[in-house]
Amino acid sequence: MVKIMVKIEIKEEYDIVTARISAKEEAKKLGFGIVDQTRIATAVSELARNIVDYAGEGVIEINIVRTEAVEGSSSSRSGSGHHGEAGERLGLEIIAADNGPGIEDIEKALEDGFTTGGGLGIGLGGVRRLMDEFEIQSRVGEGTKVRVVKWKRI
Amino acid sequence: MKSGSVLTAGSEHAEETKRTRMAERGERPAFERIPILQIEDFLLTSIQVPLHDRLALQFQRDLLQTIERTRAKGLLIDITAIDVVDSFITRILVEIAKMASLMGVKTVIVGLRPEISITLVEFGVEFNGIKTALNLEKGLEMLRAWKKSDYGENYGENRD
Repeated sequence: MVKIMVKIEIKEEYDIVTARISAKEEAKKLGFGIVDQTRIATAVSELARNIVDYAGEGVIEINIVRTEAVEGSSSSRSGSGHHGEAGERLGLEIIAADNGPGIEDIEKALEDGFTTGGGLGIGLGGVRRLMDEFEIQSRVGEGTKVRVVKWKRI
Repeated sequence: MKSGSVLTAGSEHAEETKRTRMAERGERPAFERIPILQIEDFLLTSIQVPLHDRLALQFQRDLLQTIERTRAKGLLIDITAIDVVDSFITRILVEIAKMASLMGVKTVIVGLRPEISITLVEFGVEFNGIKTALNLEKGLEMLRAWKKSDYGENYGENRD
């Protein structure tokens, strides 16, 4: 597994733009098509905005992930992608982490229409639908970490 | 119509805090503005820079004031240059359309590229109450047709 990492500190609104532009660039460099680039950039934009709106500050990491073979195929929870049957897979991993207030009810936060802010309430659920893998860890009073991956179709 | 209180109270507060902080540091906010043009009875605007809270608020305010001043009957918003339509931008656009509608103005969003449409649907965003058209030309046609059917009888030819 090879990792090349871009790390963006998210402190204010302008950083959201920085994060989604770098995500799109990395996706493009990796050979993702325009639709996947847009899916990834939208997910990053949403995750970064959550950081600004709810936690105040945090970081977004953009990593290139590579698997040797599909053995045990690293749990695709949202299951929207069919990837290559064998061999190497390339993907872009996004990690959004903050030390904010955390999420009390994660299941609820993933439901469409749920929001504690002024948003549309489709943020996290929408991010999960746009990406191939989605994991979230959150503890009230400690923070939230969201990890998403988009695999390249081979 | 006072148009200051548009976004949520939270974002206004954040906006104020940011301004205060910048003022304390002796900085002036770099002020971009989105141009609003008039064509026939309609306003035309193209969003070509990433929207953020402050710019979005300014944009909403500018649009509503221009509607009042010009008595425009329709509003065309071109988003061809936007690379990402997330829930924030959707909310801004839906709000603008609602506000314009309260002032009797119809809004048409034009220029949703294929990848944006795909992402919006998967993401689950709904452009509630917003009309869309493929491009500027089609959008203009929509507004003209609407104006003719809605205003024609009362304000149109029989006045001349």
